[in-house]
Amino acid sequence: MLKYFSILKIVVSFIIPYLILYAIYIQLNGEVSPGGGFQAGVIFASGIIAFDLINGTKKTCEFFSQKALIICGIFGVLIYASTGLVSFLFDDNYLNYNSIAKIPWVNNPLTGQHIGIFFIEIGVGLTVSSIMCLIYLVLKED
Amino acid sequence: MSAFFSIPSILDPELNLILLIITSLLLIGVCFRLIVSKNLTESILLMSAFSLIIAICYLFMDAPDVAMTETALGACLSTCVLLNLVKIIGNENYKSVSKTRFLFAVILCMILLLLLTMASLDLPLYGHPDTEVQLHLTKYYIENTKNDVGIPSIVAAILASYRGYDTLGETSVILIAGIAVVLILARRRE
Repeated sequence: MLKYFSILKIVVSFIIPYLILYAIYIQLNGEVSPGGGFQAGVIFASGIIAFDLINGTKKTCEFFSQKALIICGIFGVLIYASTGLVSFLFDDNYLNYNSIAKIPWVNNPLTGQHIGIFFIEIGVGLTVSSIMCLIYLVLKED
Repeated sequence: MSAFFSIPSILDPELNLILLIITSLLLIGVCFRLIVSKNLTESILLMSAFSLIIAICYLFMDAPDVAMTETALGACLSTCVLLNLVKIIGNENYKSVSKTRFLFAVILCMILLLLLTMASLDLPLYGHPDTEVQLHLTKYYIENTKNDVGIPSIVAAILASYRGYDTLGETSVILIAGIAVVLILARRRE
C-alpha cells in the first residue's frame, strides 16, 4: 500500500533503541532531573508502540503477550506496596522510608529515602509501561 | 536547583513571555480549526498538534515534568489508540448540524466565555510570589525538602515521599483501568 514503507521502517527501527535508552535514563535519574517513573513508563510504551507499528501485532505479541503484560503491571504495584511494608518491620508508619535507614548497613535516613524513592519509581514505571502497552494492543485490530 | 535545564532560566523574562503568548495564540488557532473540522482523522491529528503545542507552553511556564507527560501521552499514545479506533469504526464524516442547534451552542459558549473571563479577574497574577498558594505549602516544601528527603527534584520528593499514599492509589487505579479494558474488550476476538 505504502510506496516508501521501507524508508519509514529503517528510520523508525533506528529510533526505537534510543527511545528505550531515554526511558531508562529518565527512570534512573528521576531524583535529580525532571521526570520519573510515570514519564519513563510512557516513553518506554511509546517505544514498543513504534515497534508494533513497524513489525505488526503478531511479532509484538511474541515478546509482549497480554498475560505477561498484566503480570508485569501487578508486579509493579506489588513492588510499590512491599517497599512500604519494610517500615512495619521497624515499628513505624506505612511508606515511611526513614525507617529503611534502620537496616544495619544503611545508616543515614536520607539514604533510606533515596532507596525507597528509587524502588517505588521502578514499580510505577513497570505498571505504567505495561498497562499503556496493554491498552494499545487490546484496542488494535488485526 | 540550578542543575535543571529550564527554559525560563536561560531566556529573558520578557522574551519568555512573548514566546508564551505566541504559542498560546497558535493554540487558539488550532482550537478553531478543530471546531470546524468535519473528519475524524483530521480531528485526531489536530488534537495531537494541540498536545504538542500545549507541551511547549508548559516548557515556557517552567514545568518540564508536565510537558514530558503531555508529549508522550497526549501526542503519541492517545493518538495511536484513537487512530486504531478510527480504523475499526470507519472514517465517516459527521452529519451536518441544524442551524438552530448551532446558534444555541454558540450562545451557550459565549455565556461560558463571559463567566470564565469574569472568574479569571479574581485569579492572582501569573508567577507572582506573594499569592496565597506560594506562601504556605509551597514554601514549606522548598525549605524542607533538602533536610527531609535530600533529593534535588522537589516534584519527585513530593510525589514519592510526602504524598506516597496518593501515588500508590494512582498506580493501583492505572492497573485497575488496564484490567477493566482487557475484561471488556478482549472478548471481541473470540
